[in-house]
Amino acid sequence: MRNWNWDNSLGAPRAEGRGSGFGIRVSESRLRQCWWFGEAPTPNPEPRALEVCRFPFAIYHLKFSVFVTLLICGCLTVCACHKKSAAVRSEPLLQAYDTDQDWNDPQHSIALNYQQAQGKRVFYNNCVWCHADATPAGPSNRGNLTPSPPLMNDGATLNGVSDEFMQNIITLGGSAMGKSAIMPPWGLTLTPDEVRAVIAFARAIAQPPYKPPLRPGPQYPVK
Amino acid sequence: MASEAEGMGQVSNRMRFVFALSSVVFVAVLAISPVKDLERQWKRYKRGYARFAETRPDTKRLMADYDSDIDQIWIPDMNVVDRCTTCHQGITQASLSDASVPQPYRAHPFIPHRVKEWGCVICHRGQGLATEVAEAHDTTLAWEQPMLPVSYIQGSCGTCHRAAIAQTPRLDRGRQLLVEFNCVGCHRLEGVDRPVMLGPDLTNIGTKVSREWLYKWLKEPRTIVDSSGNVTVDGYETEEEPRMPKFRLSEQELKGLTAYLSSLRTKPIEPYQFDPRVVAAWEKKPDLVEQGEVRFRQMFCSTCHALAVTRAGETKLIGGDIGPELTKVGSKVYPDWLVAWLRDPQSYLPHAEMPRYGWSNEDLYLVTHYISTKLVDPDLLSGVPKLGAPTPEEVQLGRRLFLEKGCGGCHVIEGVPSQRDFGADLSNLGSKNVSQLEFGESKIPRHLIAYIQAKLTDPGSVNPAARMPQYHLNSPDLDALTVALLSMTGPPSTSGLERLTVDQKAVAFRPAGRFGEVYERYKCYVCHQFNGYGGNLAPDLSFEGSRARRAWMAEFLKNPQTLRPTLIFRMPQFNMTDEEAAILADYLGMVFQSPAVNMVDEKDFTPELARLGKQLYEVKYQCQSCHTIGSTGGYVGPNLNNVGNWMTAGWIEAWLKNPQALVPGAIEPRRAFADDEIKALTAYLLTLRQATKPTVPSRGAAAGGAGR
Repeated sequence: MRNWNWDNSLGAPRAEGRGSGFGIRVSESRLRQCWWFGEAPTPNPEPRALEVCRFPFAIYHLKFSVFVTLLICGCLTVCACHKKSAAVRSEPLLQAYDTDQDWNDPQHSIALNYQQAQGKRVFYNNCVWCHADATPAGPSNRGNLTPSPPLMNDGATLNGVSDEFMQNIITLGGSAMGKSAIMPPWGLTLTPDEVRAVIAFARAIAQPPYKPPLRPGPQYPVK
Repeated sequence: MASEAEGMGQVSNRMRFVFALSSVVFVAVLAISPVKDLERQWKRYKRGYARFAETRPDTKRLMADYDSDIDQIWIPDMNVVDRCTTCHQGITQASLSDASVPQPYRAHPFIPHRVKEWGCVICHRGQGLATEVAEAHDTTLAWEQPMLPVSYIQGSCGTCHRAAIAQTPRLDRGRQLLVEFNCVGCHRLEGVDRPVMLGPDLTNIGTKVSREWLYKWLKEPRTIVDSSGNVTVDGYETEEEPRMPKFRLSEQELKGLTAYLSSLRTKPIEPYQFDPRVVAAWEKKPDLVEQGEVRFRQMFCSTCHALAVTRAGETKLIGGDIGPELTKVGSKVYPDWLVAWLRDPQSYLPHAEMPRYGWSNEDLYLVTHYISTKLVDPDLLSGVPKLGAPTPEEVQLGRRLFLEKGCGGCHVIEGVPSQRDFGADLSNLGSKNVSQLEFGESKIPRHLIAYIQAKLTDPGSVNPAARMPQYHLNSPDLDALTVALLSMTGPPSTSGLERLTVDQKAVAFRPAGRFGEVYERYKCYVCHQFNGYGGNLAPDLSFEGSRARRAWMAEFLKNPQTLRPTLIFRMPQFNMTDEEAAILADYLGMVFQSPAVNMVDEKDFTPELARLGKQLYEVKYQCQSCHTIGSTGGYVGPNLNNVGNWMTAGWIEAWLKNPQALVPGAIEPRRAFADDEIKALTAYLLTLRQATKPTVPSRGAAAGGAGR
């Protein structure tokens, strides 16, 4: 029966130990390499190729090793538990889907989420002509109209109006809601989602800022 | 032997203590793992969600599909496993959409894709498999794709949606800029076609401009960006950036390149002999230049070319950006070249977008005189050193530099091979990991977005030996370009993506026959769209035959009028002959028909019906808030003064029924008119007619035609 020793792989000559099963044969050179066994015994001036390691001797060295092992385990555990989380970028505009310039203060950009950004798109396509004082094409049609339509960021007027009312007046038109017939109905042109997006955009750019009512109902169906 | 064995069996008290202690420590070490597992980040968020749901009024609904294990969305088609919903529990709960709900429990803002069908990483990127916050969101050693910041997320839309969609304005702007800046000249890009002509053909450039002008142009291609970020072209502020970017060239290189280019004169220009009667009649007139300016304005050159205009003490460039800016062009080009160019642009540049106008001798004389007298700057070349005639060594150096700098990516010279794909292949830049990017010694954050932006703002900052020229981008454009580049992730990597990719389709419309000739001559497609092909400056003409009456079209083509009061640009007056106008009008009328428009018998429209229509127009529907009739009304929609002569009855009826069916994205809202209301409104609108003005005789035909 072959007796596989630790240093079998090193090809060093093997010698039978004197002890019974408890003896572990370890070469000195191997022992020196095994730093986790603690201090190696003082090297003997006489070169010895082989050292028989007796059990109590191993335990004596294990005492150090346990503490060292525990220390390392402890350190590793602490490191693992307190994993340094990477610095989170807190730039608010970087976290936004899109931005729009504050109409009253050109230095200030307002962050928009996806829905508000879609509202911005619809607004600049369909609504800007009458609900703003400057349009992508230059002059605005607002000055031609009586009564004058409110600006889209006019918080003083629009903050007091509920989402339901805005949804209705955009979809059904001014005359259906007892307001001026100048406001056309958009229900057949814009989808309900687009109308909700426009309202969300108006809320986002409102000056003074819009504060939602305390118990908001579901504003839109999230799929 | 035996005593030794007995000695071994006896263990001292001290040893017992050590054994006891180490076994306790051993158990404690073993316990770390299960305890740590219990305290995993995602489990904490799970428990936190359950506690949070207790505080909400709709606990039952919020907890309906709660499971204490890891949640996972698996899309085998797209090779996506996505565990984000483990922590982002409330992502589909409508009642958690409020900003006061703490993250990670807040609902996702409304989007057109269902979270449960698509997962999160397809759009947000990051690591869907990770179960820890840092690993899922950021770059780690093992996983290199961090999440995209939300402001760049349209880049992910572009991986599938190769065609433009309205919901992604930033991506579309970025793709448009990629085309505008001629990026395909040097780089291979996904979904950007290489046009026939990127920069002008330089085969005959020596006959057009002087060596001194070339020197100035190459040194500073007109654009200067000052410290506040204002773009100045030829000393005037503008918002457009010319396509030719600034290359960092040394004095020696400038001399070589100018020598080579100014020696390129393969086809000499033959001076055009004006009709001596015209020259004799106009030469001595004091208002020669003023008359030239009047013709220049009447022909609406400014629809394509910008000019510096001083208004209220402020000088700005005003005009279109299809052609080059012309403020100082008189000092740039040789006069003989100018006349030859105006008469037939395509003989100098076969792919030029400039239409071949029908010039009369008189017009040509006046306009060229105006350009070479008024649009000049005597100081234009004052900063240029004396260059003299090019020496053969300089020409040799210039020829080598032309290829070394990659000029052949955009410019063609007969006999010089094209240098397409001179720069790096960018068609899968968006899917590159950080380790695949070359940062060199630079101090740029190791991040794909930072890399792209550093390359775009200052190519030398990443690699000092970069050959890429310097662009001046403002921050929205920089972000838009970054988004467009992030969307380039190469060919679809999975079968699912392949199936989903919506490719861009632009089928060039090149009609044959007589119409095709006139269409090519006046370059209709540069401004107008035909079945999805062409420019977007002017109205889409795909259904023009259903919209306009033939007589009106023929008249308009010869004498274009502004239809919308707010528009700055207008169709130029091409001096078409009656025959050409008739060819265009016939073809447009026959071919460009909409299936939604029916023939309507105009005999049904009685004066009573028109009176009813007028009532509806003015009182019930208040159309005057957007349309002008006479001199009153709004100016969102077109002026309706002449609509009876302009539009067909069928078009008006179809338009009133559903404007967006005829022109997608039309501003006018679709309204629920009753059928008889539509009849009445149409009857009223058809009564609005203006007497046709006496037509100006077609000058091109009358004077024999300098451009024919």
